[in-house]
Amino acid sequence: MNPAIGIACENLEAYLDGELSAAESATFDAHAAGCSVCRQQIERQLRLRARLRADLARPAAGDALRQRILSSLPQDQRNSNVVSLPRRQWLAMAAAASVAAILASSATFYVVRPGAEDDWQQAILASHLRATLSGHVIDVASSDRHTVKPWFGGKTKVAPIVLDLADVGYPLIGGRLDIPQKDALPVLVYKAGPHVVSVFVTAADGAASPEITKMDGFSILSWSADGLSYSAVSDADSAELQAFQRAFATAQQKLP
Amino acid sequence: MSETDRRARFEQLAVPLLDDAMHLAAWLAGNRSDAEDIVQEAMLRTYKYLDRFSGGAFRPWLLAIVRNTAMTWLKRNRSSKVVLVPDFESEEAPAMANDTQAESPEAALLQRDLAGELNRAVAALPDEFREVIVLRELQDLSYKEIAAVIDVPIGTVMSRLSRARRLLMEALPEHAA
Repeated sequence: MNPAIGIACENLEAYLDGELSAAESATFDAHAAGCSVCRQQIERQLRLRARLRADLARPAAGDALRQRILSSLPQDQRNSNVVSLPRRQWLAMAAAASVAAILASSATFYVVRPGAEDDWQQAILASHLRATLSGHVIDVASSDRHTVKPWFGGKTKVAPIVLDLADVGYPLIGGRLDIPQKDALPVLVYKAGPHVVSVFVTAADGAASPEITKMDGFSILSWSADGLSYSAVSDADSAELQAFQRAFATAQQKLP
Repeated sequence: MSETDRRARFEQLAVPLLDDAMHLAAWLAGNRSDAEDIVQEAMLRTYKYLDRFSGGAFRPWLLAIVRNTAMTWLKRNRSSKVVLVPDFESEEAPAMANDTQAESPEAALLQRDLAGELNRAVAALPDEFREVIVLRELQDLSYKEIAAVIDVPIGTVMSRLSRARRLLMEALPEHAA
């Protein structure tokens, strides 16, 4: 080691962090070759770094936040169909940790979008938003499907199949009655991580494979099975909602 | 800059870094809901000050705004109670999912415990040590960039990083000397 250059033990971290010049690195290499303390330290530092880089939590921003930010920017004429709103309060939900806040109130949420085919999607998204914004997500709070199912009895034309998916990561938190269009419909409410998922159930004939739609930062996934049609709405991203649907379908197949 | 140009630039430069902003804010705040508020405020500031960005790397510039917003926000809003267990801890540590597939459930569980232990140790670090660890190991910034983000000399970055790593090794049994 050349003390004039001063590359020794104290440069170990700068060396590992890639902060030394090529010449300095070479000098450190030469030093470390003869320094057992440095060799041991290098090994410890590298193990710690590998663990930090592999396991440090990286919470994603999420679609709801992205949407909230984009909607809160000053708008020009081009974007005037989206109304900018001040930040909303966090929604407190019973027994839930934090629920992603939703940017717009149902009254101002509608984006003018012609075409009848997504009327249904507009309606259930508005219904989901109304419920989450008002904090009135559920009429019957229960994680027990044997409580939720009878609660719907006689209130709606269709009797939903209620599945508890807690063991696969989607706990049932309850059900509510909603009238997105003209009929009262059963809505099953699940949690997917921090996200609320509303599943609207209607009568249908035949089966239809899942179809995903993105709308204003929300995902809507529709499918049919066993004479019922399901539409799940959530601020969870598409992949998460598709995973939820697969869990739902799998649990349904296991029913007697 | 017209509003249209500004928005286009913001969507091109800042929006793709939303997750980076969230990672830093979450580690500074210790919980997801505060972090979301911080990120939103920081992004609005970024939008507003976009014409002050004078080239160079955009990411450290944005992270500096996130960090400053977090400091102000936490001073104003954080209760005196320090959160030691981050509520996002069980979330995305992307490397893990692929690593565990060939292993037994026990090994996967053990690995998850180790990850939890690591995250709790980082969460328990004093603020000035936690932020340099996150900027270096999670955001992969250089000493110079970290110095710019937290506005201290490079020597201070080096000594804080070194101290932070020592504290982590002491807190984690399998890294202790």
